[in-house]
Amino acid sequence: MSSLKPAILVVDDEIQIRKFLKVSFEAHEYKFMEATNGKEALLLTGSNNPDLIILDLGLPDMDGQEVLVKLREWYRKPIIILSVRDDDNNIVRALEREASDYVRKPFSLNELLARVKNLLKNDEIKQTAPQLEFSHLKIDLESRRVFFDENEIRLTATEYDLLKFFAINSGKILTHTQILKNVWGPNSGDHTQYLRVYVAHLRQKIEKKPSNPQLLINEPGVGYRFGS
Amino acid sequence: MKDLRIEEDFKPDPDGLLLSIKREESKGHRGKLKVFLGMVAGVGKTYAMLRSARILKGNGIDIIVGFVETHKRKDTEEQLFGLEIMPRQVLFYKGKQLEEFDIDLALKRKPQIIIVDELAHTNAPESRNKKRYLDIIELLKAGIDVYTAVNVQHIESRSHTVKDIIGVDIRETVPDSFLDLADEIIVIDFPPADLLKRLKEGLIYSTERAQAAEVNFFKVGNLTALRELALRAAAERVDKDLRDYKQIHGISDTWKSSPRLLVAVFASPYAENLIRPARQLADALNASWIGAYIDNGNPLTDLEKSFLVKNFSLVQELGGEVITSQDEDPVRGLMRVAKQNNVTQIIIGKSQRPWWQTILNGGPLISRLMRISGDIDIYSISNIDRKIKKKKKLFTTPLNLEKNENEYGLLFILVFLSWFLASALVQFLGYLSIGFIFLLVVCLSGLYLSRLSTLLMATIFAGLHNFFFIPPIYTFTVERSEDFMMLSMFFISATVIGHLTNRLRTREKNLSYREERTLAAYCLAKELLTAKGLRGVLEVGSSYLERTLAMRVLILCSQDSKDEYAGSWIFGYLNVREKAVIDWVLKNGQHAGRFTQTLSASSGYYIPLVGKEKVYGVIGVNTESIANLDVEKISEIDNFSNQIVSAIERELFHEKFKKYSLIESSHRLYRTLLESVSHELKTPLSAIKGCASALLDPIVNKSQSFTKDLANEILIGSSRLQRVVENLLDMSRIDSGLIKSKLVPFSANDLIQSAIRKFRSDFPERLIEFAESNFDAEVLCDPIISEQAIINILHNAHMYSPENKPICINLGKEKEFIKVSIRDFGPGVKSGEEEMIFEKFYRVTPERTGGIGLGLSIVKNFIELQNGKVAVQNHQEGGAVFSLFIPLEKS
Repeated sequence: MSSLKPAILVVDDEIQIRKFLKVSFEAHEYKFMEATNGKEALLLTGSNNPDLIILDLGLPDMDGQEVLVKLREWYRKPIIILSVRDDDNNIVRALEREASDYVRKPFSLNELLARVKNLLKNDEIKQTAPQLEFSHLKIDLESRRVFFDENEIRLTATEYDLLKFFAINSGKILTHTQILKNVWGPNSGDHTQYLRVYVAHLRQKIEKKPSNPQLLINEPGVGYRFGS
Repeated sequence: MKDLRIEEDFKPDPDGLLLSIKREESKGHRGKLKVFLGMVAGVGKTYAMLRSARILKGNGIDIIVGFVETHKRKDTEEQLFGLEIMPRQVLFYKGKQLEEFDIDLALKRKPQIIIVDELAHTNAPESRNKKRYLDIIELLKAGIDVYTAVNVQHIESRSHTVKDIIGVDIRETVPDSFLDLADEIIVIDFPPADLLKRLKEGLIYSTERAQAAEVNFFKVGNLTALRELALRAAAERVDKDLRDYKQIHGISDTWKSSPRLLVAVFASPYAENLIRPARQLADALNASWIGAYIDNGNPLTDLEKSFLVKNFSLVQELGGEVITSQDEDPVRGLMRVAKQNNVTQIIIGKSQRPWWQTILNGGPLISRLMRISGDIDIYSISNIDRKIKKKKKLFTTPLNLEKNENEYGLLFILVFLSWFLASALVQFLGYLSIGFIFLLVVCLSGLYLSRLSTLLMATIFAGLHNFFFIPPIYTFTVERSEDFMMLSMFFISATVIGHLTNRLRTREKNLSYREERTLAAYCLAKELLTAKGLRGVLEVGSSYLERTLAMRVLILCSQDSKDEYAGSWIFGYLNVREKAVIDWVLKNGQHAGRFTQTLSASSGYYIPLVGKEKVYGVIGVNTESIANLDVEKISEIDNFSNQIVSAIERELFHEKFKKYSLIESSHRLYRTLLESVSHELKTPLSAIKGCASALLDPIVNKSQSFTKDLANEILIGSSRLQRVVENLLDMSRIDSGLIKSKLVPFSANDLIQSAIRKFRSDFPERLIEFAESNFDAEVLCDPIISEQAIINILHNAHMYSPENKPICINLGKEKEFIKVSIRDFGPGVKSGEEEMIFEKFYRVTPERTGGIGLGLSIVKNFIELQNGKVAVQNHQEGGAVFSLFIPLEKS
């Protein structure tokens, strides 16, 4: 059983943060590893292949962004960014470098645990199911059909592509640029306005209350997040 | 494609275009000038002006009459009705009451349009400007439109022709460059026959005066000639406007490269007869023109110098540029100037020199000039000294007698000595060889004496030789023909050699003068380069000018209403008049003061420091001690002023840059501060928030050991937060001056023990070694802030030391202080940072966490509040040692 415990690597130079995360994660039955700087982080990831990494952007030896890029050269599992700099550019940059999610300091344990669980679960789903379910919504990836409480709904081709991209990345934050590139193609440029219109249309069809969306959630200044 | 090529070919000349645009542009800033041009008095210029004024006034335009002379003509006076007339300025001069146009009042009233009649009028002495047209320039600069009237005979370049026609001297003239400013010229034309009729009817002058005027001036022939002149002047003007228009609108014209004229200027009144036609020719060709003076090194008399200055100002008044150059050969000099300035035509006068001088100077000037001029056209103007009455004898002799008085003594001593030597030697050498002694003396003295003295000496020697030595002696007769031959040969060779050595000397002098000037400019440039700050530049510049000119000098730089000045002629001591001149120069960017046209009653000569964008300041030269300012000095000051301007520009740029980088660095500081404060606050806050939320988590909560750990972390986080907040509060209290120390005697041992206790409560695992002193160390301190200072140092040591290393504290005495040394085992202090680490918000490694860079700064402030001091140095075995010096209690 113990070998099935998901392993979490926390990279942070603040001893206090590491201590409290160690106590909390171990209580929640995770395997806990810690690194105090970028070099240690790369080394530990290489030798232990953790299931998820929590990475602080402010490290003493190298820039957190740089560590992220180096990790992503081979490491495909989720990475959560921790940042005190509530500077959205930094977060967007990290997400575009394929960080899976971010948490701003100070944060509460529940918040972080929820993200961790979500990302780990999604990682499993993606490998298995051709059918995805999100509360009242069911997406059949094979037949390209979408059901709202068992009633099929009609989507345009672009709307479906958009929803599909959200669904297979559920739980992850997706930046505007990432969405545009993946759904509209690499030359789609910077038409955030465009995206906003499609999201509004999609919400009309898939949300129970489009004015108070529960599935397709806006992350101000960064992008969108899909899923519960 | 074809069209494109044509367009390429017809591209307007960039220089010409620039000039036109600049003129257009400057027209936009200033008021518009409308000139009513007439051929003669009485054609109705004033009438026409007033009529249009009434029409404009009727249209609601603010037009006033600044100054109008109606000559009591009835129809003209009627036109004045209903117009606002400015009061005249009343001046008393030599008992006479004079009425003048009041420029200051006009500037204060600032109407839209003002009428100022009689453009060529010369103002009363003591007025600000010598001439009325200078008043008008000021009005235009102030943005006021001006209507004015003038007769053709008063236009500088035409006045000569008018004089030729009617034979009367025209004294009051207006420079052509002023008329170039006119936006519109309106010719008031009147047929001569009708004019004469008007005159007879007494409509122009009262009858007696009319009679006199008719005889002198109003003849049909004269009037016709004047009419033609006026119409032609206006036509030329129209032509020029058309060309300007074509330039601006890119309409191609026949001329490709702009013609440029050069006229030779020399130190005589005749030069005027060359300069005026040059201006006319330049106008007709629409060319720019240069007046060039070649200084061949012959010293000028004061009179000649004054002619030269007058000719220069004439060139400038007529819109030309003055260039002076040194060359022993005027032809070569002229050609050099011409080539440097892309001159297309050269204008010279036909020489009136005697044939022998022409031969001595290597042939007639004009033919030599033609030989080497290449593709430059040469115009020769004949008989340039016509009509100049030889009132004064200008050239006492072609040779210069100026310095001779000092020379004559030397001359006669030399003559006497040579004669004495010759008499002593004659019996040994024979009278023929004696001649060589004389020849030698003449040659040598050519190096020191003037040309006239050498000539004189040669003559005297010839006489002496003949009288005393050539048989028959004691007579001036010569017996033998070979003696006669020898004597004449002697005389000729002595003269020629003397002349040649003299010329050689002049050339050398010239060369050394030029070298001196180059050297002076170089030295100034070098000194200005090392000058520090704007003040430094001004000081270097003024002391340099004072040294070279041997006059008292003032340099003022006026920047954003802040004045900086230097020089021994102190600005603060100037009287109101001089300050007014300085203000005028600053405002107008033109020369003024003594020896100029503007405000010439002042005791200084003022040169503006004109830069690329604006007038930076003024150089003032105190000319009280001199009677004349010669051309060389003026051009020297101009040269220096240019150098000073570029130095000022450099300094101002530097200052601007410094200001900018200061703002930049304070921005950077602000950013790092914000970042570090936010980091320092948020990190403990995240720990507290995280731990507290974990404590609420039911799974974590189950284990006793977990909850204890978490509670402990919350405690650590809060003390850390508390430290940051306290540091910030302490710093703001220090900054606001609210913190005051209460000094009491206290035991240093107790102070340190107490600090250690407090520190341990936060960091119990850190080892601290403190050896209590064995002496009784009483210090005079404020225990609370001293303790805080020590805690801050301990905390700093804790942050930088490895966990297993201790912090060592020692107590010692040094003079009247107790020295508290706190040693850590961290990386130590980098050399050069010993002072900086005590500065606010300074962090040795900004990316390293911990601290916002206030701790040590607070230590320094706290200790200094108690009259103590702080220092830091590295321990020889690694780590830093902080020393706090706290004053001993003296009991």
